[in-house]
Amino acid sequence: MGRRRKAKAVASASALSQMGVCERLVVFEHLDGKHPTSAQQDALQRGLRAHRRFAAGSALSAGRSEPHVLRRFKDLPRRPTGPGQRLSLMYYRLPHFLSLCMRRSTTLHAAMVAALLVTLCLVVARLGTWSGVLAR
Amino acid sequence: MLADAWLLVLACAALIATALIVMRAACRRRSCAADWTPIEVRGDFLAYAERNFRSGTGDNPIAARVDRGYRRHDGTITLVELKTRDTDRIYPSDLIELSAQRVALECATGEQVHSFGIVVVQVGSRNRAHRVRLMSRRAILGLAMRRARLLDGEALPRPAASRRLCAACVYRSRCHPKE
Repeated sequence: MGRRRKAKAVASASALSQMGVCERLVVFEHLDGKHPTSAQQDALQRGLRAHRRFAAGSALSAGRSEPHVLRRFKDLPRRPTGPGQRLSLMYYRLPHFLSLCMRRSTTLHAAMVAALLVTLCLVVARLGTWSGVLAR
Repeated sequence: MLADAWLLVLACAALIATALIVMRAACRRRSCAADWTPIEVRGDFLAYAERNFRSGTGDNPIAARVDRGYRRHDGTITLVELKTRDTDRIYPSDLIELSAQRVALECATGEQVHSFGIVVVQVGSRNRAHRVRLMSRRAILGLAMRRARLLDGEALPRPAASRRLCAACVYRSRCHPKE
């Protein structure tokens, strides 16, 4: 009874996700408790191990400030003035922002590549015309 | 003659752009970085990792454990969920879980969570990221309410949408006694 009251009080995200699998299973597990098969237990252990690695990966790499500190240290003697430092910051941020935009939008990516190719062709064609003029 | 050449150039550009789109889609499906970071959130700040959240104290509070939450440059959070599977596919239950995480995180912190989330499916040694559109807050609260009604015995539970799910279920004999 206590378990029933607790389950009713707070619905966990994983318990709610079970509703997308089978509602009858949700009711059965609520009444009788969970009885995972050996295959399900193996999968659960595998998932736990993967989650530990997942958490370790996030702790070690993403969101660390060291690269930014090193970058600032490296650029300090190059750009000692305020405008210079702002230029340096823009130099790092602008390509990052553009690459993020291009990563998120496939259409933008393709459009930019197509535009670059057309521009390149135009330049080559114009150079060809000039070389003809110069040869004359 | 010149017009034909330009048409050829444009056709080549279109062909290359199409090839890039296909390669890009394949790349997006293919992998995450060595630290499991999906392409969509690479460069964003890791704000939450393995954190529990709870949505207030209403009639049907929702608790969730967020695998990872990345903060974008505009301040919104993108949720990432890890799944280990034998096949590279996602299920409706993944959508519900991520959407419930969004409701819990938004209520607990007041931060805005992005309307799409990412499910990283680990198949063997490969990780593949799937971008999914999350369910609305109303849908999740409705689901929590229905769950409460089911557990109270006020509503009849529906069977699984696919009978294949029943094959590995320990309650199959009770659920389908005639089989």
